[in-house]
Amino acid sequence: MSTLKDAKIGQTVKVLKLGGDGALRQHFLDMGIIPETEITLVKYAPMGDPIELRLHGYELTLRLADAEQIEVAPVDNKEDVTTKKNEKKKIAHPGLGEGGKFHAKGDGDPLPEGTKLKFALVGNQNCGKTTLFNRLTGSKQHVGNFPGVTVDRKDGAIREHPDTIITDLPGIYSMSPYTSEEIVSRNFVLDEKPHAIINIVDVTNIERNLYLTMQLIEMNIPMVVALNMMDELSSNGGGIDVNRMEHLLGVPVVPISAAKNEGIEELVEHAVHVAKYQERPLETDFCGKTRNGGAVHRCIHGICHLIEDHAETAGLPIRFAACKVVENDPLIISALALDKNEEEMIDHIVMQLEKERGLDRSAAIADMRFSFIQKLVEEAVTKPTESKEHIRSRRIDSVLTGKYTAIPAFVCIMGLVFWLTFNVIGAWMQGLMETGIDKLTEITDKALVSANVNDTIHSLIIDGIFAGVGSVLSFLPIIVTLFFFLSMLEDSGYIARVAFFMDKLLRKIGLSGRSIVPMLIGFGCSVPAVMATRTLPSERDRKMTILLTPFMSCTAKLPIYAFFVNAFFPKKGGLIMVGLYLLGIIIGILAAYFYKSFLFRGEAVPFVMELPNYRLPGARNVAQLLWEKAKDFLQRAFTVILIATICVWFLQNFDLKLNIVSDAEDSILAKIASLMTPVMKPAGLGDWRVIVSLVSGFMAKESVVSTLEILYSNGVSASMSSLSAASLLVFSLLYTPCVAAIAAVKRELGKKWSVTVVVWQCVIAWAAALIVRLIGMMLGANL
Amino acid sequence: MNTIDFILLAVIAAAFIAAVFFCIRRKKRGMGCCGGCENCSAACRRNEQRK
Repeated sequence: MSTLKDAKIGQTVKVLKLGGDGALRQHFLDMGIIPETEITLVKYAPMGDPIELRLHGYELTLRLADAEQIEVAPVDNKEDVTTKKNEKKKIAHPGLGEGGKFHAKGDGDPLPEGTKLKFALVGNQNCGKTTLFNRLTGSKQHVGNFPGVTVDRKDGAIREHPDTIITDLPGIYSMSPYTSEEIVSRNFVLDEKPHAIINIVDVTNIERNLYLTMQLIEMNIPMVVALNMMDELSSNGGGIDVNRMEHLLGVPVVPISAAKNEGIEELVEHAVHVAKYQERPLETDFCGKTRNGGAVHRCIHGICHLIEDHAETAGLPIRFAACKVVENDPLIISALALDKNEEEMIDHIVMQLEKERGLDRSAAIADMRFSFIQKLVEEAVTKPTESKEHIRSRRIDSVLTGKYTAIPAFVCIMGLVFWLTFNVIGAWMQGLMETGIDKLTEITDKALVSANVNDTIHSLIIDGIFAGVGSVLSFLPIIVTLFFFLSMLEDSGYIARVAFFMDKLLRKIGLSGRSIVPMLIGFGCSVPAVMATRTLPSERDRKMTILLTPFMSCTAKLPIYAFFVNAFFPKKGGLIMVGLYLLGIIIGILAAYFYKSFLFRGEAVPFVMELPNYRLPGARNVAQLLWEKAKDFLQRAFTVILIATICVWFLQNFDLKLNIVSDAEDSILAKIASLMTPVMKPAGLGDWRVIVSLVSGFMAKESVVSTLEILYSNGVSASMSSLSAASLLVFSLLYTPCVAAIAAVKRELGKKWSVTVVVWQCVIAWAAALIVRLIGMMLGANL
Repeated sequence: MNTIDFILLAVIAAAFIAAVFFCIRRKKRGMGCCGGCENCSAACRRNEQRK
């Protein structure tokens, strides 16, 4: 008997039996790997693991160890994916969800006037939920092409319907959640009981998307199905008989294109109608009395009757609860609080199902749903042979994920990003910005002198505010440029590929390929990087990835590096920048080995991930993201940095008796910083001004530069050696992230872990700075 | 100190106080001193519900 691991590239096989157990096995079933499914092996990752598979019209990654658990048999001739068009009698438009034409149950019994209608926006990852959410609400949300970019729910009112609230939930593949993200979505639907669900379906992956649709219908909540990306399907020669699909599903079906803003008004009308009149699905019984002998049908209905009272007490839809009980969902079984007798009866019913159906319980339910979906697709969907987008993706992937080209391509792409950011675009714009700021400072200075402004106030404005805030503002172009490139990579779908071929490498440090996403985001900002760890399926992976994100040097540290590189190592700028980033990564890897060996023993979770088609990033999305980043940076400059600048100036220019000092060493600031001097001196950072700057960096990393500018009034290069500058660079790279990032860690892991991160990072930074200093001294003091 | 000095001091003080209030308000909403609400999930949600 052969397994999926033995398949050859390009070979199509049929699944015979699915091994394994627990949540992972259920996840396989939910992704469509069920007995009788045909799967084609597309390729191996460059390092031989994981593999890329094609099934149900989409790509999935799987590790070889997991593929070994799937028994398969070869298929001689791959079925033509183009659905044979049968001539069927046209179906009149059912008119579900439309006012005055057809009321499904009763003749209209609307909710009381003034009720705020609550909607849940539910769908698979990467199906366009957030794009649709933006269209519906007019809100600005970040949309990425890697599955799981929306890390938490977002709320908003539907435009022109102020009495509504719609929640954009994280993408899920099933109501048997595999990740904490999926639990958020599921719990929202079950606990918060929205008045209606808008289920967004990606028609280019319709089978897998409809799997979730069927489970949502079973919940018996008013619902509208939005068929998204209809433009892509039509342009590739495909089509959907919407009337037939609506008739078969028993819920309103509305074709839309969220990206092109088509069909949205119609969708809103239907959604508001079904919510207002509480029009529930016409059909929830998909098991089929005669399908495969009716074993699944009898099982589900038997259990429905058995658990009816418990489901009502628990506030769970009966049919949904019954299916989950058959699937052995522990959360639902626990919520039902069945007694021993009932549990034993259910076990016997399920045993009978397995005996009659010839499949285990979970596979039987998955098979029931996919059988219905297959029938629906045959009747209502015309699929194209292969979409243009998929052909394009395959061609691009032949280079970007090729066996010998993937990693060189990745290195080149990241190298290009950093080179364009630091040496070309970012550097040029920064030069312009600096010239502007210098000019403004000069004009202000002259104006203050000619107005005979008091010297102290003059110093506060020019040496304090302008020097401090101005030095940070000049880095805005570089930060925005880097964010631009990172968001392009994310939006296009490339980062999903990076996760695919990095999986084997990351497994060596105890993580899965999915962890690369938060880490890459961490090069932009640690806060969204920490939030992005919610997409990781295991708690262990989440914790470990969060602990590693501080080693990915964020854009806020760029001003520090650029400042010192310009002052001390002007001809080796690029080399030192790249070196710092690599140093952070290398120390991160060493830290990961340490965590793996002592803190987080055990294997990383299995790697099962969809590979979406490449998409050209939307100019609107990218522009919006850049604007938000620039706005955030400017806000920070004129709030936190301004506060820090004024405080530092005050503490530096006044002594404990509030007299102005002529020597900064007599100031309040110097007195406070001197307490830490003995600790920092061995690392070459014993100057009180450096210590104050580093402390101010805890509020916002950009403050380090503004504080240094104020405190070193004669210029840093005149007051510090190159060796100290090198130590400071390394310390800045590794020490505690800013307070916003620590707050994000605290939200995810708790207070104890957030304090641990602060202390641990400072210790590592101190040790690394010490080593750099010792090496420098061995090489001969000043570099 | 003349009139212009007092005016400048008042402006700087006002900017400082405004920045502090801005930061405190964002911190109460769980936003920290930087980043939009999308970075702050649970705290943001609680605050939205309070409105």
